[in-house]
Amino acid sequence: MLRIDRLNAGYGGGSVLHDVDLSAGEGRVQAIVGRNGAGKTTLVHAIAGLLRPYSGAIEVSGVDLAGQPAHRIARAGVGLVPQGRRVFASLTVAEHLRLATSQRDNPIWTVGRVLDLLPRLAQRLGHRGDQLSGGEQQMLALARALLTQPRLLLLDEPCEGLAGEVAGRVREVVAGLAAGGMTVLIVEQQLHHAIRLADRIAVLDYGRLIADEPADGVRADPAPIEALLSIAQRR
Amino acid sequence: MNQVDPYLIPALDGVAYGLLLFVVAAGLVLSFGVAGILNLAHGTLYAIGAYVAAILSDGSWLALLLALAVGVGAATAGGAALSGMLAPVPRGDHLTQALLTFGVALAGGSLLVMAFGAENLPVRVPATVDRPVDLAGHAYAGYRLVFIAVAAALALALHAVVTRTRAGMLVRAAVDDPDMVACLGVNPERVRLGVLAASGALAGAAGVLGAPIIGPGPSTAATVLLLSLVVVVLGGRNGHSSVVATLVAALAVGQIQTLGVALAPTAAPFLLFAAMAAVLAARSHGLIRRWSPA
Repeated sequence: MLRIDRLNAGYGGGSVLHDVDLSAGEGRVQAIVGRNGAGKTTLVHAIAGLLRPYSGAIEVSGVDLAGQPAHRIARAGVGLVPQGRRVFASLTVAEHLRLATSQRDNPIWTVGRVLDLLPRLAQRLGHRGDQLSGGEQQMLALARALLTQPRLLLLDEPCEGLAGEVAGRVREVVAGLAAGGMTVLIVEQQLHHAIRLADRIAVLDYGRLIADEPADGVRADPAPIEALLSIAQRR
Repeated sequence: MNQVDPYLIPALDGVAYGLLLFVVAAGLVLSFGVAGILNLAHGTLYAIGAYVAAILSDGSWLALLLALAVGVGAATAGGAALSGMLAPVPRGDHLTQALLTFGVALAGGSLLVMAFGAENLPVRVPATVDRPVDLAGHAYAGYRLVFIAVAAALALALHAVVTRTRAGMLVRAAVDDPDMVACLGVNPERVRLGVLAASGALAGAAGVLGAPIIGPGPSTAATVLLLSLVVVVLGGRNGHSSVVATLVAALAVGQIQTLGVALAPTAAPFLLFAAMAAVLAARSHGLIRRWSPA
């Protein structure tokens, strides 16, 4: 479903990602872990079209989207829940949902379905984005992304700064989405956040993918991945 | 005659002047706040509307309506053309935007002078309102009262569009985070085109309706641009200016320009820019910080 081939990207001519190869099948959860500054958000931004890659391919359902503008990538079925949530501060929850609602015929995700999945938002419809708690903002960012009808969902540190219970609810919702057939790419700094949810876990360090393992193996013996992360952290 | 009486007419003039500046500056706020474009040709779009009013006006309502349609259409097209010219310029590159739009303003100003001459042109208002109205014993221009009503209605309509419509939501969302708007599948090029066209329409409408107040002439574009920039600075920069903040700032500038002259004739020329400098020194983001629906 998602295939990334020899992706190189960066900012202002400087390289951040170096020949990144990655793939994720339909309904699978691919986690990317790495220390701060490893290039995780750069990878997410390159896939979402917020950053134009220097070279390489980003195929979603067989279509190469590398270098396409963000709005075309969104319409091709890629939804983004960005780091820091980035909800619209001056829009109410209801306005977020109305603005994000896809104009397509027979959408899978409707406002009603999203509110059934994330009922807390139904109690906050009249509140502005900047009046919500961190957890509510995360739910809103997720709802906003779902209403674009994604087949691939990108989550950039969705549990960052959330209380354990709220982070658990986010993981539960994401697991449900994957079980429903949505492909999920989740970026986390902490292995323990990713390990509970992912089918595969990749480690990004200095913009290079240095490991990509089945999550079952990592759950059984996390030591090798923890060692890689620890080495990356100490550098 | 009480103490307030001598200042009634200047104060009313200030309202008319302020509302005119609001309609123009609202377009400038839109283009800067939403599209991230510092449009120094905005005053030229006003001048186009004002010249159209001068050419087509014959003292009838029909001519005024025709001028409104032509002036708004021409300025809308001008705004859309600017969007096309600015398409290759990155969003945050305000220096290039300023140079390009300043060049357009200079070229546009020269073309208008070539076409209509270097003199200020008279503008005829509809005969039925081209007569003084008695206000508390003072004669006041009937057209200005009509203009105040129309501009106030425009302000309310703009507020309703921004707060109640999907387009308004898009505008506010784009001010907050244009990248995330693109991630919802909205083409930012189309948003920019729409915003600059709407901005041009507002300037054109202000030019046609406001021509009897700030009339068409060689210095019109520069005067309107300068005053609009002051309104934008006072109302709030960095794209967070609200409709209400822009209106308050425009009315304040209008009062300084009219009531200020009546109250302190010698200080009046400096009052406006002193107020702007004071606001910038005290609150660099303007009088009111964030785009608010109310």
